[in-house]
Amino acid sequence: MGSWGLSVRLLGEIGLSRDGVAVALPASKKTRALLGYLVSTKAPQPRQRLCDLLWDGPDDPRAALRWSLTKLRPLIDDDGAVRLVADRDRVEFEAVGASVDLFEASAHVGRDVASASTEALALAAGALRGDFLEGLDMPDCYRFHEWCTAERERVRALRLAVLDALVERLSEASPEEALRHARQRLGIDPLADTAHASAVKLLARLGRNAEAQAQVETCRRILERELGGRRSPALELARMDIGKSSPSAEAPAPSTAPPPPRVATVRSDSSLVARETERAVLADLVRRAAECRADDVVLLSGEPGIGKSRLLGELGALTRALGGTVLAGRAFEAESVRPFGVWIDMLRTTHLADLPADLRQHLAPLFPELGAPPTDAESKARLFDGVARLLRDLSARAPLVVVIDDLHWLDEASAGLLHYVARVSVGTHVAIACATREGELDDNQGALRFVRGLRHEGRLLTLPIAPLGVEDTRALVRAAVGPDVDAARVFRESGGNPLFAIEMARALSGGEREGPQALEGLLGERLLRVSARARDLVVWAAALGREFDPEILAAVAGETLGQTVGAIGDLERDGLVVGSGARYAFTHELVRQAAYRQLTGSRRRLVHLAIARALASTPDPGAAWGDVVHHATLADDPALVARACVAAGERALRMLARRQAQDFATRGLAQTPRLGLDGLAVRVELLRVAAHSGGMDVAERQAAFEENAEDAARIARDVGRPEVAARALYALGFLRNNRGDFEGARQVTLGAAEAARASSPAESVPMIANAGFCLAIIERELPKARALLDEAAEGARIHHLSVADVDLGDGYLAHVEGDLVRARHALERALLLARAKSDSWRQSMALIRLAAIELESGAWDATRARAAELRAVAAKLGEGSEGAIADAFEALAMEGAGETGGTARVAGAIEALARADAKSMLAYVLTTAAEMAIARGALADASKLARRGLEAAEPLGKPSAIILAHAALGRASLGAGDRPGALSHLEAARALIDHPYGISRRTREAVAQLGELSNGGTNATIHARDARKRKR
Amino acid sequence: MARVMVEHVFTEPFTDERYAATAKQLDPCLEVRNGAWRRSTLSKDKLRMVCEFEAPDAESVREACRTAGVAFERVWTADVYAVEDYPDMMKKLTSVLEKAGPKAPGG
Repeated sequence: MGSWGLSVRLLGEIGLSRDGVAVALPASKKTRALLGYLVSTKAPQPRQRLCDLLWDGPDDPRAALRWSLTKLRPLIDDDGAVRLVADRDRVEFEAVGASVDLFEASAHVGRDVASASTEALALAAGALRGDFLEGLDMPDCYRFHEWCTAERERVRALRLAVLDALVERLSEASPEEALRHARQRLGIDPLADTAHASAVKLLARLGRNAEAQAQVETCRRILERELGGRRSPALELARMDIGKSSPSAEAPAPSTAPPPPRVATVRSDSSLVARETERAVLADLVRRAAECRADDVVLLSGEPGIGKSRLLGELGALTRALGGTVLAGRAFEAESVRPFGVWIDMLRTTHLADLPADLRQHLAPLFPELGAPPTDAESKARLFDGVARLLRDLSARAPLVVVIDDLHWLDEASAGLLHYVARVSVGTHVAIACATREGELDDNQGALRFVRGLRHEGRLLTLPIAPLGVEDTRALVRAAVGPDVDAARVFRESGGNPLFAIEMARALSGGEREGPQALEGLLGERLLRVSARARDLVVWAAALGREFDPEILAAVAGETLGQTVGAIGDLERDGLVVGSGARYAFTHELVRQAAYRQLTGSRRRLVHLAIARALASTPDPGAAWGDVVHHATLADDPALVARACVAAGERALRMLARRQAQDFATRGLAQTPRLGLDGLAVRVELLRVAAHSGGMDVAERQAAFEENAEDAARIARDVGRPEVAARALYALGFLRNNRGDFEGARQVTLGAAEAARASSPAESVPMIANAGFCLAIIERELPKARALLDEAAEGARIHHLSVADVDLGDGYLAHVEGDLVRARHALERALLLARAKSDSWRQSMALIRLAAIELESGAWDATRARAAELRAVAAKLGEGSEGAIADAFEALAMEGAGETGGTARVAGAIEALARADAKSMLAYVLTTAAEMAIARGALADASKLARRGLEAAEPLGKPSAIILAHAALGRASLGAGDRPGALSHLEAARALIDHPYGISRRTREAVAQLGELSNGGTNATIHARDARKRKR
Repeated sequence: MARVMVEHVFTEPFTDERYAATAKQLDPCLEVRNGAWRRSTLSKDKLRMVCEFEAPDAESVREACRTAGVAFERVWTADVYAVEDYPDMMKKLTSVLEKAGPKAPGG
């Protein structure tokens, strides 16, 4: 990084420094990710894109973006330089003299690696350190994740290309230097056998034969473990070079592992040092819980390693000392997608089997062993109530403290339940305490709502945990490591952070160290000192998560349980992990992160892939499906992500965590474009999950799901997979009926429950829809038709019914109302639904109206296509008018297109409709034919046709049809110079225009045109306008 | 208005219960189309039926049947020739019926 002005570090962990001094970044991961994105993309970014990238959720993404920008602005703007340039729509980072490490490194390389000088490449290799935006993994923000993964790959590829070129160019002239680069390359990609081969050759050339042989063995071992024992020809060739050069005269080569240091004794479970104030607050909480007065929720807040978890542990001890019960849980970053995860973990420690039957039923969504979960609209309310009741039962006589650590990673469903419990536990023996990392809460909307809600109610007691003072640090170091450590130095360098101080003290007790130390570095070094078997295993454990199950660890790492337990024992002795029941956990998240950092690039992907596959192949992954999604995302396996999202989404639905089900569906659907046609079935399954998740909070999300479902149905039909198309339609039907938010829907359901008891919705909803559709067909009482259809749509949505008449009616009404886009969509959906149910008549009804829409839009070919579809359906219907109607559309399309024989075909179609005695259609065809005759100047024909149209329309009492016939007659009269005749038709038409049945838009326009013509307008102007309108 | 005839053929005997249910479904659909049932003639084996309606056109009855889910073979509009309009034929009919006994055919 440059030493003057502002420097931005994108390689390794993102960082800022001004004049060489590090600037603290906001704790919010999303804010840091935003900075990384803006700096790397070097272009103005629409606000919407940034919201989609990082805040794709139901809450106010624009506000979250604004908040992040306000945090960043003071860090990167200078007095003379505004670098964060933002307006209403866009945001951009302008460097204005700031240096960015990645760009500087790339500048050394220039256009391509091959043409860069060796010196420039050496500079680039020095600058390209660490992964791009290391640590900013956010698989939940899948758009950001995909972008970040791609960028990381690009930077990695550049780094590998630079190192490869250096190894090649320097291997003759400077093998020592080449070896250094070869080793760096291996560090990035330990699976590349050619890189191992290069290192072996260089070692052999330097005469370091033993090391060369060790390198061969290392490579073989890695290939055996990671790639199933594949042999490497490159390695075998390189091995033949060993011994060709004379052995090095240098001192024996240093071993790759550092010499085993004197390891300080780890004193586990050290007693709490200092923290008297905090301890007093917690003791007071327990006391108040005993007196049913613990109404405040205590929130411990502070940086990682500051001692929050230790204090929560102390709270547990205080509670037990008073004879109370502790329910302790911890949220995990990797598992933030596990609905109710924390609650399941906590409640499992109680005696669930002894619960009364009704409570067992209420809690069944969380615990499959308690029975089949209920799925009615009130089951979520009963679940929440059940948990609150269980807590009250457990705290009948003594305090019960609910302790949740790492609140900033709490999943949304758990946060909702926690808030509910907090609300209903006022005045009981129940107390709640949580711990969160300062600043990181802002990235978790669910947890943030919980905290804000409490603050609003005046029930939040925030307890900021400050660093220890010098004397307290000294006491801590003495208690944890011993008296012989330079406590002043530990305090100076650790800043009073207890975790840092202990690590520092341990390192110092192991030998003299120079220069300031960073906590990450200390933890990394400590991991290097563990036994070889533990070192191999710890990365797998770190990839699994903060907590891990030894059996699963053994399975994913491909070892026996015995080997795994042995290695875990080593880690436990070194104080890196701690056992908890049958599971183990890293002693601190920072320890896990340090272990995880040892995995890079392709190895990291392979590890996650192995974990994802191992978890997915267990007989009943259950709660682990969310983990499969997480690991498969990090492994970049779109097929497995999509499949796991279906399973995890279904599980979330069973657990009544609807929003999370929706999130899984969205995440899975983001992957399906990469799967092509192979992903069609899983795509439809994901849409079904989305549909079953109920109402969406975000209209765009709802619209996107619907569009996706329509598209999937169309594709499935096109590729001849009717069963998949039918499932897509099923999902679409659900989605369409889902509009409205979940809470609102629940309220409606509660209200509708009474009404539904009178008759079953499965009976009543189709009847209401049918009545509405019926009115829409005959264009009578249109407002009532709309009301009935809306009612049916609501009923169908609530009761998850799929009723074609809802869409058919909607399509017919939208056509009458002149909303052709809506009409087309609704009729298409109705058509698909009717097809799926083999309901030929409803197919024909949809096709008739679709053909009319095409005809009225002047789309002659499309009209004929619809007519052909209609004819095929008519054949299945047996005797009826549909065949004649198909012929009529075909004939009108020919006539409209000006084809020869069109007029005769129309005449034939008219007679066929008259024989079938289908007056409504007859009137439509006659009037339309009359309009076409007017357009081509055949006024006498037009007059005859329109008069017959009027005769057909009158007995039906269908005002729109009557008005349209009058309008055509009026225009024909005007054309023939009969103005009084025209005015009489205009008058007849206007007399009906306010008919209570409701008049179609097309009809109103026809009357308006006639009025305009009667006032001196010309037919030519109107035709020209019609043509323009059709084009639009 | 037109006299509209509907022919039905059933695979299972059309029982009174089914008849009542069908009528319940069909009537509102007819009503909104300005149509009304006039009479039905059901075969003894209950497998065939012809129904007569008054309606603006045949299509109104077809639509009503299909909307209500009532299957039919064909629907057509008819001109009615009834015995009431032909006094001679009416007399013959009366004498035949009187000879046959007190029970008159239902309609």
